[in-house]
Amino acid sequence: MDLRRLLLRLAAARPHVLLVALPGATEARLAVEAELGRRGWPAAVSPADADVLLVAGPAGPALAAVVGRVWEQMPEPRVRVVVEVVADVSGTLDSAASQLASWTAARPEYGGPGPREQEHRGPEHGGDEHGGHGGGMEMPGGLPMADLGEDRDGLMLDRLHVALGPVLPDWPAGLVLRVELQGDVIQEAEAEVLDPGRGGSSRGDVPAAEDARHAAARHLDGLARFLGVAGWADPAARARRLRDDLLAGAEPAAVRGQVHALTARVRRSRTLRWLVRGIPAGERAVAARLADRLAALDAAVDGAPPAQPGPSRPPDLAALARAVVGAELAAARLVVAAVDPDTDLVAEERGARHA
Amino acid sequence: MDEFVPVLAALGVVVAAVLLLYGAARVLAVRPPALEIVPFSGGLAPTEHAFSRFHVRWYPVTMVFLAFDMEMIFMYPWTLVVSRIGPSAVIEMFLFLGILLAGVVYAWREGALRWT
Amino acid sequence: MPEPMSAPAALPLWWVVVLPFLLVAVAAAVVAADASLTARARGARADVLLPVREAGRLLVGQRRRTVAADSVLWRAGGAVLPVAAVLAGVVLPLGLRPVADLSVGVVWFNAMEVLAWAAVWMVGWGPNSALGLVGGYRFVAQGLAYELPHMFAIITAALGAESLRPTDIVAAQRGLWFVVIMPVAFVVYLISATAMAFWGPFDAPVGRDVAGGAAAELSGVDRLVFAGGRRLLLVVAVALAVPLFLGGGAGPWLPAWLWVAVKTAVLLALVLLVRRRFPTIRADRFTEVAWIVLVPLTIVQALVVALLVLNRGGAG
Repeated sequence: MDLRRLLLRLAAARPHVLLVALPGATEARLAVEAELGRRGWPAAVSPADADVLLVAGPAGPALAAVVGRVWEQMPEPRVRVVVEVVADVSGTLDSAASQLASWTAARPEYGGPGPREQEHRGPEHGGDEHGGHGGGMEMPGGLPMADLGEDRDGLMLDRLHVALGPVLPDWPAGLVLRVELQGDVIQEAEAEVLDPGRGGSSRGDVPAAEDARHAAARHLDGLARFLGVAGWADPAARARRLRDDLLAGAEPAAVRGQVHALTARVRRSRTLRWLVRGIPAGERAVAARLADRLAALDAAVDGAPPAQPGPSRPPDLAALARAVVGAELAAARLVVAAVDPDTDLVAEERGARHA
Repeated sequence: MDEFVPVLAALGVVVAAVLLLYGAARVLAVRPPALEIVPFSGGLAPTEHAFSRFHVRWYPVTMVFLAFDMEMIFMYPWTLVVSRIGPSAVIEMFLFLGILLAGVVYAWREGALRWT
Repeated sequence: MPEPMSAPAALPLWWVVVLPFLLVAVAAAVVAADASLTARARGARADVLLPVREAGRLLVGQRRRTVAADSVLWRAGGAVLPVAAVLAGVVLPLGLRPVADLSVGVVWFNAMEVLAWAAVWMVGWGPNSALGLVGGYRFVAQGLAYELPHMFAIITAALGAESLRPTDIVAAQRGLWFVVIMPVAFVVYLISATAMAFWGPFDAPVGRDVAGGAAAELSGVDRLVFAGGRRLLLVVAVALAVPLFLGGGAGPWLPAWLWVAVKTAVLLALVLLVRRRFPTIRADRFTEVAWIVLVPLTIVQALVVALLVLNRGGAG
């Protein structure tokens, strides 16, 4: 049909891209984000809103399963692409767009698994584990209902088990937070990183002795993600743009004025202070961690010697899980964004549970 | 009731427009709807149905709200008669609002307006 | 009682067909303007065709249904948004006359707006998704915060004219725009209208942190209807501020309809700019401010206006 072809072509000029960042492949993620920003293509926040599934880096077995599931959740027309070599980004996105523009229903799904109907729909864990009030009844989709549990006020209420991540906007690569929710409050949490230690390098192309440019870019990236979670898109976009400029070779001194303007704007915002006030995040509260990040960013573009390089320690996932217990989902997302665990450094399978 | 004729007509038009949009999408969509999609929470499969008794920790706010919402039903017609009834209308209405506000302050001191 | 209107003050009936298209065109302009501001912040090029691209993309996109979804509530919720927005829009004077000149116009408007409350919750509940559920309930909590200041702001304008009919409210501002005697109500109205359309900074119900929240599972035309309905709601809610506080079509040189258009465009631009200046304001923080600051402020504002009305009644 001609009208459909026309609409497909119109839409393909601006596809929504769902970016799956993998641990150890931060460089690829940054290259993709920079290219998406240049093109003005929006980043999808969920598979329902996505046209292109872009996997940045080589996926291990656990993340390959996640990618497959997210692919299944995407509506057609859809294209799945993998970026492993940074130089490829632009060509890969072009080819994704042209596949969308000339999409026909008859097209065999690119790299997709079999038809949806054949996919196994059972719960990941046995249904007995949480043994809900379904009794012996067959529940739709083979899933149990949420079970009762005592909440922090001593009331017996439904506890919903949800695995957050690893594919969420502005979320650390590969991180999964398995939480028990009552309403939107986290009662229990467990953090793990899927397929850790595959990249080997630490975040980005950051060498062990980090220079000012990369320090500034890293802090801008962290700031952009924090502001994204806080729902402040405008300065988040500016931070991303400055980060991309730095990684493209701009001297820190050249962007100093813009970075200072950005940090001053974030610091000045009484609304942001009010919104992040009183949210504990482990040893330092969210607000303090944000202030730390802004100060470190200012220092990096001022050419101050970077803080003690020291050996990079893997993030303490147990502490992260502890920090989100008792928080509302929105606050928990701010905590994760403020702590900003560098999942590239997680070496082996580790998990942490906190009750 | 004549004045509601355009309202009913608008209802018909906009419902028809939404249905037309759905009809157009049925023709234009590249594929029929996908069924049995697993809900998204980050890429792992759900282990439970999300339908649950959601713990609404702001329920005291709903109670305070209901009191005021009832008051609104009096306040709309009241606006029409203020100058005809005179000062007593104003005094009575704002006395009533003052009493409700005292309740709000009490609820606030009891911590009903904060839940985090 | 207010004197009966001398002439039928409504537009011809065929305007009921024009109105939805008019509102959609304004909503599309809002989308394009907002996206061009976003593109500028990121250093990309703006795109005039963007609303067409997005709508076309969703029209050809596949719809989806989640496991054990409550489809009736889910789809009905999405469709209620545009329907409620247009039905609220019938009382907007487009120039001198609205599509329907209701004697209880502002009450009708308020009643239609409140449907958004149910609609967003239904859309969040429907897909059987944890993130959707959180988004839906976020909007209910947000509604508890913005709704009362919103109603007090509307009632204050009605009180100033001693009429619930939008055209009477405009007529009562012949001497003095209400924004002058009720600035607090005007500002609160704009804040609460933004919150009602869950537009930034009150976009937590569809927030990025919960992957789109209530809208997380919507695709294809379902998403188009929901997202379009939300923009329509924003346009209609903001547009009512013109007859309530800015004298409707009053102004020199230009015809009334053009003044309405200009004033509405200015307010919409203001709303778009404000969204850029603030991070998402969560209901758990906003509720306290709404009840302890905005509600008393709007009540005092209503009291001031009531005294002015008494004074005017006594003099006349």
